Amino acid sequence: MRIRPSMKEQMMDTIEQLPQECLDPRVKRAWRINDAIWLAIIFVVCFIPLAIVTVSIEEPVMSVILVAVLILFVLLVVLCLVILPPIRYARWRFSMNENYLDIAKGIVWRKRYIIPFIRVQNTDTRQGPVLRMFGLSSVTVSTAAGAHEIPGLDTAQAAALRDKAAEFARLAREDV
Amino acid sequence: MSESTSPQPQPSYQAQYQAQQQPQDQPQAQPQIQPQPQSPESAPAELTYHVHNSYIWLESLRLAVILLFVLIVSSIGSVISFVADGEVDGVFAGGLMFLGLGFFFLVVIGICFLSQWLSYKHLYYSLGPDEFSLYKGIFNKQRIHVPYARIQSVDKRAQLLQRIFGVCSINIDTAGGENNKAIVVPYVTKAQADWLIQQLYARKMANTQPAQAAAYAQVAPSAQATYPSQPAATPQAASTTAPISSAAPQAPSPSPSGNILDVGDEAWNQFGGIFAGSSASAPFETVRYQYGLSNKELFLSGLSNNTAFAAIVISVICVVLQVFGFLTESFPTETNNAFDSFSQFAFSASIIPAIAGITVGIIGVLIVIWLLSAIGTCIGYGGFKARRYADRIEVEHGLLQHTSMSVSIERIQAVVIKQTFIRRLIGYCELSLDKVDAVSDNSSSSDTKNLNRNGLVVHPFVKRSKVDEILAGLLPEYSEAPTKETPVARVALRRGLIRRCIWQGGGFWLAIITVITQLILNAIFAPQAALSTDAFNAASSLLDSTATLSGAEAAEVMQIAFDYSEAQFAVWIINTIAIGLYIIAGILLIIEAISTIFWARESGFAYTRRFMRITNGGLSRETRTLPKQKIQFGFTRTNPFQRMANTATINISTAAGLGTQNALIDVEKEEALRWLEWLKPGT
Repeated sequence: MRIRPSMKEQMMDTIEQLPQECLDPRVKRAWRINDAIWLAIIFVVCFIPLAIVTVSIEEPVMSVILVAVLILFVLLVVLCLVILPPIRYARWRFSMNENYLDIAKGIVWRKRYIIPFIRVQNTDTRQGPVLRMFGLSSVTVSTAAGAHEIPGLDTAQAAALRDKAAEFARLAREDV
Repeated sequence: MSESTSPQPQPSYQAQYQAQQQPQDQPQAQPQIQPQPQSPESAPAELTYHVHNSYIWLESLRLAVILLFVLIVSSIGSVISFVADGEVDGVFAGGLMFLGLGFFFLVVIGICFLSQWLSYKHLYYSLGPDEFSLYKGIFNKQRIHVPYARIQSVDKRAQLLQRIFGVCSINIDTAGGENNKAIVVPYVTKAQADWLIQQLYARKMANTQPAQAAAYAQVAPSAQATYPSQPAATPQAASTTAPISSAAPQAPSPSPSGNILDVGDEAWNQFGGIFAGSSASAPFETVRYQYGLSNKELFLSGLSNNTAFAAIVISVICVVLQVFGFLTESFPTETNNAFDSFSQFAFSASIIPAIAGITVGIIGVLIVIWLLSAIGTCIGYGGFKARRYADRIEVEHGLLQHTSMSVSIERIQAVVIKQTFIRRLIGYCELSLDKVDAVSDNSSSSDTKNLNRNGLVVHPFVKRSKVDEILAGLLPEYSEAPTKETPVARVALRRGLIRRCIWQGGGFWLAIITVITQLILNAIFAPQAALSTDAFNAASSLLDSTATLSGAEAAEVMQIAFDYSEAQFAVWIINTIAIGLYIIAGILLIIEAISTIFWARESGFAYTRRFMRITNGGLSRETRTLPKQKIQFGFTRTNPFQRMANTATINISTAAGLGTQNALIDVEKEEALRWLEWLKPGT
């Protein structure tokens, strides 16, 4: 197994040229809050009944399991709230020109999408409660085969992006 | 039956007139055969058409048959008990019950008939200037409007009963996807259906490509003029369409020789059904290219269907297990007395032939199943015809249950060449088209679904070398499709072997599960066997030392011997089954490995300016050619191992939806990036 990337790989990385635009940095916090909510729900649903059972039956094995689950949970919290968001943020790139939308994302499974605007059917902005708290919006670009979401952008920027995407989509269609 | 007194076939197509303005862009003059109060120039009205009246009674007839069947099955027990009692009271009560059931049956059928009649009254369609409208519903009025431009394909389907009476259902597909269900116009006569299909396509063309529609406008009026004529007007209709229909046979066809089932299909078409109507599907447009199936193609397509492959795999496994059984029999490994006697019992001369008989029986049953499914496929493809019109491809097939499906050229998402293992061996393949599909509301039957599950099959069985020729005739638009493929990366073979034989390998996981189960079961039974061996030895030494045993002692010895052989037998049977499973796992593993090697050698992708092609090989092979225009979006995906090996997976999404495999794993990274560049429009 190679630890350092080979010469060829480094060369490829420069050729690959990831798209340049990043998301709004505030999205990291939005992701954290979102994940925290989910983790809290999981905690309430899974851990608390387990704790009650452990206390009530007083079996030493159960408390060991409880501690193991607790450690696992703490690790999960650290992973989701501390480690992942910055990496996810760094990996999430997109760029747009009048012809296509280019998205690169993913940490373990890295994906690179090319979405031609000729095929775009509609573009919307969306805003959930968490995103609204930070003044963020997401832009969704839909094609006949599925939708793509750019999750966290400044609301004004998102509206501008959406308008631009819709404009590009319209122009591209007229072109054909 | 009550249905025999159902209303006589009246002149259908009673046209109702609505006081709606007809815009000027409708090219056709309205027919004047119906008595009309106003002249055609004054206020051209929008005609509404009813479906055929067989909607009322054929549907009730179907229900009646089903209900009758249910009633007979459910009451058969009580009838038998009444007859068995044989008493006068019993017979009387039975007769009473019979009368009651009959009355109930009549009432239910009457209600069905009434509701069908009512819904028939409220079921009609009209061809508006811009859209097709279907009105239905008694209480919940439903009006469905389809703009002509949105129509994707129009299919015609007839079940056996419908076919006898010469009626069929029309399915109109719109934008597609799960949410857009196909619109079904049920029970229209054949002539009406043909007319409607022509109309829909002509109007669709007029709405989308006005320039090209000029040719249509010339043909269409004659088409419509023949339509509302009643069945009595046959000669007139035939004379109108004769010049056009005579042009049809000149269409080039690569395999002019039909097959014997075509004769049956011809007979069907001649007979047409009782209410088939006038023009026997006289083509209003010129057929540019058409072909059928030859005898050989039809039968081989039946014999080489998927069931054949399954049958082969199962029989191979059966034979291998049988050979294994013989081997264990001819080399007995155990020397122990009691076990020997037991194994002699288990493999006594009478058992081996029995096992052989069972194996032969299984293979025989498989052959019968295979032949039956082959006959089913043959009947399903009986009367197969594929035609190319100006803007669409039409495929019809089915000897008993006729289906005629069409798709416009611009709706085709991909051309798929599929070779199953057996077809590959004999150098044939199946040719089909991916289209945007809608789930039909009451999809007719599982058979039709099976045949069309993988897109629209335009040729079920064609020699691989003849594919290009057929495509050139059927779809000249795809002529500049690429041929030279970039293969997958060299490392793909190693990665493929690991992925397919281990992570996704059925054989590997079967072996693992067998090992675990065998260990657990042996851990349970082996100590028992060991214990009882000691006891058995003690007992036999006791047997040797003392000449005579009391009854109790003899019973104890017998019990010990029995326990011993039972535990031994359990261990033996577990291990034998485990060895059998290992053999199956080994066969699966070998098949998977061979498939992977083939996959790595022949998979690849290619692209030219306007087209792209992906081939996924293996024991069965699938090649998919898709125009760049139909690619909704594409993406590459890499996992850490792929990044280490410098490969990537390429994926294409078209509107043809889920279930279509448009991915190629482990392409060289550079190639994948170049492909991404190609995907970007305007570069």
